[in-house]
Amino acid sequence: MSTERQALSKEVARFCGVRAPVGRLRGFRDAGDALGFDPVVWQEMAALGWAGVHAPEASGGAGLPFGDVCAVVESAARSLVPEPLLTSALAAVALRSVDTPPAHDALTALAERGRLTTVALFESGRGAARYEVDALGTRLEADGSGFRLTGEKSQVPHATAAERIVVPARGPDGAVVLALVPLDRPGVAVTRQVLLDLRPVGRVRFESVAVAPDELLATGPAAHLLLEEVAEHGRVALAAECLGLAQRAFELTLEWLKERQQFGVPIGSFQALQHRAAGLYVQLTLLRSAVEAAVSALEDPEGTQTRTGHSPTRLVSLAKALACDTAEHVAREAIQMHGGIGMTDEHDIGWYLKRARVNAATLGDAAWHRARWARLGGYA
Amino acid sequence: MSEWPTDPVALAAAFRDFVRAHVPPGLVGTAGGPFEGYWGGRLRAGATPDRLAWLGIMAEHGLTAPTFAPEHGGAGLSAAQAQVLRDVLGELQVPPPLVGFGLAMLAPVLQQFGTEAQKRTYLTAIARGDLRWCQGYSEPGAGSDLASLACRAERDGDTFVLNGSKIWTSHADLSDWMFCLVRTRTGPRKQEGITFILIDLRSPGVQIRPILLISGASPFCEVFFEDVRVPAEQVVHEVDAGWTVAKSLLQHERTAIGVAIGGQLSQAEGELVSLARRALDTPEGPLPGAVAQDLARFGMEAACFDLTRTRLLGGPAGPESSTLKLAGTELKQRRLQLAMQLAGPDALGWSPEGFEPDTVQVAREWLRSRGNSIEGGTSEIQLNIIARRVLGLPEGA
Repeated sequence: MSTERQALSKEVARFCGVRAPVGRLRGFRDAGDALGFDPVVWQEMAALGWAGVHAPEASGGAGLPFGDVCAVVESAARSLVPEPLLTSALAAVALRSVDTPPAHDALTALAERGRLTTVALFESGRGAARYEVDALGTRLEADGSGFRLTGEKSQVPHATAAERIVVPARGPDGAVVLALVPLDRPGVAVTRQVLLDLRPVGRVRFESVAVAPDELLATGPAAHLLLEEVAEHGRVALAAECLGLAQRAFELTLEWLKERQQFGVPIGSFQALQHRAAGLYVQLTLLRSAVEAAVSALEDPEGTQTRTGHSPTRLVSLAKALACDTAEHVAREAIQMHGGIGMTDEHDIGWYLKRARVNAATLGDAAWHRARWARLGGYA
Repeated sequence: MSEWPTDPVALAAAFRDFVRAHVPPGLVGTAGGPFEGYWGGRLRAGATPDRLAWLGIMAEHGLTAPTFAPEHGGAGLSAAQAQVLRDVLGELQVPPPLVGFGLAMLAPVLQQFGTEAQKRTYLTAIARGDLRWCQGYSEPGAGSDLASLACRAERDGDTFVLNGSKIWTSHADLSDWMFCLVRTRTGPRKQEGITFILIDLRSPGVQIRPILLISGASPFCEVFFEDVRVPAEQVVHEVDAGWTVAKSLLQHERTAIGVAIGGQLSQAEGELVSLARRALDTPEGPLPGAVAQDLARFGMEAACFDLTRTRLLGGPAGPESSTLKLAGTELKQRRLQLAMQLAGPDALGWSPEGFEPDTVQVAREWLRSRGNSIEGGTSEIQLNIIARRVLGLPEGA
């Protein structure tokens, strides 16, 4: 990791430690907060440039590679930050290569002022195809010189706070299209969904919503490629989040093992617990390698393939599958080693398991990514 | 002594030209893991004319031990340059000219603790492949608790007199010399009073006996010492201060095991897929979902271990070597467990009659792999090291 990236990572960790501690989640939940995050904290983050890390400089962003996004979300995940860091990074991936006025406006509003565009990557009711981002029931139909959008997206990140949404849909010819739609347009209805981990998401319904031709981000094969690209970036960023949250859950557990006394000694002096903790350390060491390789695969696909002997797609699946499994395992172990206090709502450690579970079932779970790895290996 | 370019691309090109010009054609395509190759030594076990020729030409240019100083038989290259050479050999499918414990384990500690005279004598002999080395650490009463070792060495003028025995000494029967831990003093702290000494196994009073494992014949031996006289100048570092040397060497051993295991893993997923296709009579197309999941799970773990090995080996040999040793050996065990599961009834033969020779081999390797998490420090000892030295958890009561 470059020294600049390390500095960014440290800065995010320091900021979040002070301004965005885990305990806020209980407050959002108990108040039934409609946004699920703190708009003031988000504006401070945006002022630090973290809303536009991956947005091009021409749109007011920092124009940094996606690895910097991953460094940011990894650090922020240490305190399970619900502010839209990942949401805005995926919007940048979706919008940065599109040269239309709406796309440019959306990206500039995001990078300069933290005004959100979200990307809808999930529809419920898709059955066995639930993790295929191109399994789409949402339709875009021709209507005079424009289009009409109908369908429903679920678990859309920060849907209640966003101004715009990127919507993958089946176009008039049955192929994937991506539309950029303002969320206040007639026919759009947003309902808040409360997830286990309080990650702010919502259901977004489209009832014959008017879409102008210049609001299509991509059509034809390019649309499918762009959708896949957004999903791949999302998978790696979620893996980086898993690494950050698992690392922090592990550190909290280590502190507890050294501090908690039973039988007159710190419980961390018991070999049964030492071995479990050491085992988690090994798993985290392995996960870090996988995440770094996946980041490198996004930044330099050919070079990484030459160096590692694995295709970028395989490395993304490796990171996501391992991240899902490891983060949940670390979080479960963390609760167990905390004992009674670990199962209470009062203690922070439980939130790490909740976030790990939500991440695991987002953009392909471990089994889905193993199946993809096997297909790419030619045996599934 | 050749002059090698400093630029890595030019260096790789120069190594490629050199290897292509000098390697015996019969060796091309025979590259295996880092411990697969010729081990050298007076007994010349495993020697072939090709291997001897390859060793000769590489040793002449200091390339058997490229990081050694030229006066110690090396080429004075940096670790990064040596890695370029290993990469080129791998790329050309050419085995290393020399492998073994002298290069992998003894040399790093001689570099750190040896006198100039010892370096000149032993590093040179290691680089030329003249002496094959084995490691005398474990004893029947000192396994995981290595520091409780009791093999005695008593001072008698300019020599030490050894009495006791060592166990789990790999390839002792094929080796010329042993690097060995002996007790020179008994006191309240068992780590003090241990001495690291080099022993010529031809000395009178040395007896070697091979050990049979659950997998059959093995490289392990027991070694017995009865009044064996060893010159005091063969002590490395100070008398009674051998534990420091021993710990340093163990890190190199763990790293070497991790590297060796990693080397064996790069083709492993493909081999398991072939095995599954044969066993399930599915020459092409998708394998059953559960089998594919198992193969993918292993393939991912292997790839991740490979990435981790590359990432960690950039740094110094420290407690991280425990991570590689632990993860690498347990991954190898999972590989062989999966191979046995995929081969099913085909892999139940102990003798080759009525079985494919390679499945008999899989069964033997599977049995042998149970030892991987025991030898070189058990998995539990690696976990102890990580818990105490990396995580800073307190000692038990």
